Amino acid sequence: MIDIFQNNWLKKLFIAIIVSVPLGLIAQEEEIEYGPASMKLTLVVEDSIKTCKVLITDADKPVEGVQVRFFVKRFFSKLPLIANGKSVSTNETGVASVEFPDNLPGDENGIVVVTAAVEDDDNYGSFEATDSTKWGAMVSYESQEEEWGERSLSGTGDKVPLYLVMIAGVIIIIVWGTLFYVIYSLVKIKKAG
Amino acid sequence: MSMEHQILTPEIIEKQTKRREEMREDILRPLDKTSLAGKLWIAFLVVIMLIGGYAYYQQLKYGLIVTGLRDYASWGIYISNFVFFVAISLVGALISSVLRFTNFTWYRPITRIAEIIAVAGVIWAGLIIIIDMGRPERLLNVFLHPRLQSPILWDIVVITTYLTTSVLLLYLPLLPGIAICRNRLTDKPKWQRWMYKFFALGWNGTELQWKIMKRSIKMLCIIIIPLAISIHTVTSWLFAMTLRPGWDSTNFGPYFVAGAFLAGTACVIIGMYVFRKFYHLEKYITEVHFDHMGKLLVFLCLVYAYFNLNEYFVPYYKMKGAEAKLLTSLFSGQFAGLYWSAQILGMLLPACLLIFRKMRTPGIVTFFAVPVVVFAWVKRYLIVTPILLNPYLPIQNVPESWKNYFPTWQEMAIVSASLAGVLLIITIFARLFPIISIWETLENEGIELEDLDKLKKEKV
Repeated sequence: MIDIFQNNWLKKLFIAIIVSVPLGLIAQEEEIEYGPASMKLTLVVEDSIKTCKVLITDADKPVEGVQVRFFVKRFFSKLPLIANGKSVSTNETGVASVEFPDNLPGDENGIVVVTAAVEDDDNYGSFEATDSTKWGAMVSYESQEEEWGERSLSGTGDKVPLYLVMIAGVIIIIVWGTLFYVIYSLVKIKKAG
Repeated sequence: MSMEHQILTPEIIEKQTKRREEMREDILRPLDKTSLAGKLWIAFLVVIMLIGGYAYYQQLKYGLIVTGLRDYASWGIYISNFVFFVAISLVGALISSVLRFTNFTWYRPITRIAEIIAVAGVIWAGLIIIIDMGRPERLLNVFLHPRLQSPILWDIVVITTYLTTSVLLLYLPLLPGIAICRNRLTDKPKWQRWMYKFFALGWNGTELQWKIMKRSIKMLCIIIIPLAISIHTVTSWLFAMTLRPGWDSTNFGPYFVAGAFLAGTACVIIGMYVFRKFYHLEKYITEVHFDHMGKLLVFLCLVYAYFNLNEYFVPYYKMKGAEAKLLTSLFSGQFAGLYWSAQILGMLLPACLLIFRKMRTPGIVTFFAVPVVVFAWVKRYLIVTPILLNPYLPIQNVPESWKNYFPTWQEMAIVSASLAGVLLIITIFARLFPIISIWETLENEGIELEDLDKLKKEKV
């Protein structure tokens, strides 16, 4: 069959393909060993933007394309830093990053606990890293109390908005004034009898 | 027609006096004695109330656990009943006041029926709210620690005010009637004679008494219209001011007011029919009244249908999230049977059939008024319960019994007792006082009782 190639160059090419393809397939079937990935979470301020940055490496080599989710610990559960719990993929340098919002409250000292998590990755499974820093917006109890102390519809009973007191007062005085006048009229009817 | 400009010749005076006497006889006759059927009816209502009382004792003893109310369906048939009672109480304002300010006079013989329904309804509306509380003594906290921003406080204020106004509006036009009872029913037991004397306030029909009474009625009629609208609007705000699918609506105030007028009118029609038949008042509550009330019922059915269209069609068009789940349960799910019965039997069918003049006979109008009332109650149940069972946050990880609501026998007995309570108030009132306002009905016939009283005094 090989004689059908009149051209010697074509013959050599054919032989090379015949030999290399099975060798290539055999080579492909060999399992690639993935070592345990390491994750480093750093919370840095870059150009005045608070950034949560993750570096994922495998045997000191950056791993690209790993999906990472970022969360902040709240009172009951974890709040995703990207809406709807979406993930960010690591780039060719193995880095995934997300901006940390300025208005997220921390604990009483303003500390927030950030978690970066890889969940069910095909090659590396699940792992996470946690770090904390003083990025949380400070919640001042004084300012909160001041806010709660304002008259509002959501305030306590003694913090009624003045317009509500006045409107309700005027209505109640008019209606009950009329009713008391009518009740007094009953007395007048009795006297006129 | 008024007699103000008519010259009262001796013949006219004699004719009018005769008519007045005839009317007094007719209207006082039912007060003479209670028939066996009447006694049985009262006994029946008392038994229902006693059973309800026992159920309430159990509720007080063991707490709300004896009811079907749980964390999600925290408002059940008690609150449905409350909204229903507030609804029927609105009719007092409609008949007494709204029609009074029109040029119509036909409504006068039925004003008292409307007013006593209103008073009975609002009394039990207040009571059923307390019954709904697991710790009724905590009602005091609303007054001890009031929070003016809360619709619950507004509701308590408006119900108290409306009750006072309704009682006064019932009582003032009743004064001449009580005086007639005092003068005529002298063979009654001592307590009853004392009661007539006490409540008649020394009524002798003097010019000043008539003047004060009519002026006071006019004042009440003016304030009761905004009050009546506010009582039902505030009740609707108890729902609309919470963030729930089905309640989160700007349509709720007028929707409730329209439904209340409809339910109340239907109640008055039934009351008219019952008193006409059992008290033999055919001469005063005539076919004309049923014809007019039938027309009013059609009009109110159509207005309410319009509000229903807004309330259900608009969210149905969008079908968003939790609203979609709720609407599915109403249109084709668990509550579909009740929902469509309420829409068709309680609103559309009476509107379509009573529009024909031939259908507006006393029997047929009453026949259609009954489902309007029954399904008005069901409609309130549908406003309260399915919405609580379809919150925005899905119900999960809770006991199975929390996911559904079905009233227990205690709840049913208490609600039945409250309905019996309303009927008992109306029945006892009608056994003690004239159910038709004599002077107002005579005015309708062109006879001013005030003028006759004046002439009588001049003669003396």
